[in-house]
Amino acid sequence: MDISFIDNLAYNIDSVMHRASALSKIIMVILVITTVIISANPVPLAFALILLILTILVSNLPVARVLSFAGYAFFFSLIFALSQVGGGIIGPLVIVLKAVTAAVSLILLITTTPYPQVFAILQRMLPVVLVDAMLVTYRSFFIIIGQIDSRLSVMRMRGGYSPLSIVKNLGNTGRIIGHGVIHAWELSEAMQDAMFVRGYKGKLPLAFSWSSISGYDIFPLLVGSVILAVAVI
Amino acid sequence: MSHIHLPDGVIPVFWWVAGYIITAVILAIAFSRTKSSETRKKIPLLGIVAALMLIGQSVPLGFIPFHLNLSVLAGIVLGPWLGFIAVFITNLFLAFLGHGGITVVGLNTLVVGSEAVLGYLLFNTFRRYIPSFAVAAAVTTVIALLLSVSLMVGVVALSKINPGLVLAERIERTTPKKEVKPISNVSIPRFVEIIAPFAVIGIAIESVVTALIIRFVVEVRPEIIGSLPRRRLRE
Repeated sequence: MDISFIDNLAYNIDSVMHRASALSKIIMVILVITTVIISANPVPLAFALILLILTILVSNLPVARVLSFAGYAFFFSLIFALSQVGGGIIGPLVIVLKAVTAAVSLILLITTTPYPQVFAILQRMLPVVLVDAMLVTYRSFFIIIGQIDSRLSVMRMRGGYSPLSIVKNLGNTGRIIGHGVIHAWELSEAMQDAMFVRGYKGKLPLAFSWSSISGYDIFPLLVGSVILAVAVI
Repeated sequence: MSHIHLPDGVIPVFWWVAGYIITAVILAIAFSRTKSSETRKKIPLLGIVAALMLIGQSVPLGFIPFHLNLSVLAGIVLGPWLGFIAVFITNLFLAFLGHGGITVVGLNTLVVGSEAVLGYLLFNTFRRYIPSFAVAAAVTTVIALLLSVSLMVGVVALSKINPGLVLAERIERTTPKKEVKPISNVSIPRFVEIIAPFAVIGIAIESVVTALIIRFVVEVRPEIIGSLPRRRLRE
């Protein structure tokens, strides 16, 4: 899992997909997931996957690295597919294509859209408190991972980590995470104070406005619509 | 430790929709049970604990490719309702990263969320009777994870998913990927038999780590672990 890498792709690359609004890309994902759910034919699913890979290319993203995030879905769907003995090749192929296509559509969304923009849309669908907590999760992740990373480095440098000593690793990892919990608690107190000082009244401001919709939104909507249309036809 | 790492498009629609509906109902109850002012105050803690869980789930431990869930810890620190919400947030994030399908977020939240809810309830019961908080946390984690694994097996059985898929996830955690072999036509009893050793290892690791964390936290900042009795704090 490399949230910081994904974050970098979403913020620092320019393309038609990056310029499109989060709303249109979420609609694209919904259309692709709908295709995955309704389709039992490998042709439209393969078409959807190819079109999504082309979209990744058009989005100036590192294709191999981005597709590697779908490796998890590929791996488990492949095992499931291979376990279907006696049903021919079509069934297993459909299973793999469904899993990978859905995963690639989600990965395309998060590698072209900064998380706060996704949260801004979610804020209109989910309870505000939930979305606020998700935003804090996203922000805190980078702070805490940085600190735990540095502590793990210290642990390794000072001989606190050994690949063959699981008991020692567990003990030291427990202390590091325990320290992380305490730091997280203190961080949350500081964050709570900061939020109330800044006038937090139960909703973090997230900038979604209909004006963010532009001509660039046609592209993801077109991709999603074509994928669904091919599956339906 | 009991994620259902199913990709999208595999589980029948009825079951993942049912998973989402039940999760939504529990989340609605969770929000109604926690006072809005209290929830607002705890948003930073909720978000940060969810971030800790995300980190725990991304760090493999040594030569065993096993990751922690920290869901019992989340339940102990946040309480049952906020713990359940933290589990939902974590699962949603993981789904966006391709770690389990977006359609099974509801089912995953039910399974992993049960660890958070049980974690809170059991720890608060055991800590009255067990002198050591670390031991109480370990016992809590063992029981909570056993029950969540049972719940996971129940979901697999009910939804008639090929158990080989879920089984492969266990094997992937404990063996190099190239050794993973496809498993076909696995019955539920056989599935349980095969996952048992992996579940035992996983439960042992999660329990030990949770106990160590609780011991460390109680020594340094005991107020984090709920409202501990004063007498116990002085000890």
